[in-house]
Amino acid sequence: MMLCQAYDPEHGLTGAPMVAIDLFGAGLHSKVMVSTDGLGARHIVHDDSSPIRNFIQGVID
Amino acid sequence: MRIAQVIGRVTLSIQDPSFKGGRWLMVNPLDAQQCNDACQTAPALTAQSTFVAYDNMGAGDGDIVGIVEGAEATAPFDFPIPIDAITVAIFDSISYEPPISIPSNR
Repeated sequence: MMLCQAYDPEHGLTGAPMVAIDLFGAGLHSKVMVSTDGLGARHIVHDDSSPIRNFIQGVID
Repeated sequence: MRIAQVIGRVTLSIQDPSFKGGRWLMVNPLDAQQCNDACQTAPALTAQSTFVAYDNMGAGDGDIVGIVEGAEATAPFDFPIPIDAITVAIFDSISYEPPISIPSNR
């Protein structure tokens, strides 16, 4: 589980933090893209009854 | 999942039968800067709106919990249930270390 916060180049880190599952081994301070697609998240954890929603889709280069 | 502090309980005298066995907690979401110490000392209330979440885990006052909102809140149930926020985790510790080079506004 990774703690993520929205990033805006002008204002820095904004908004409340969110917890997302990480598939790619994103490290501390990585810029990542987070999806809030619950159906996709349940597919990833292979559990239709998981309440998971946020997951890291990719690490930005 | 959002991180929130349990600040109270709600008891219902009449409720939908599908709620049987669960409890309702009042939760106040944490701001990012509060995350690090939240599990050790009770954080102050934030300006974010407090809401009521369904709880099946037995979280109590002052606990720091993970909350899932929206359609996913009903996923753990194998019957239809009209809830829109549920507790899914009680946190032991949280590490919030934003990069020094990027300002954090919360």
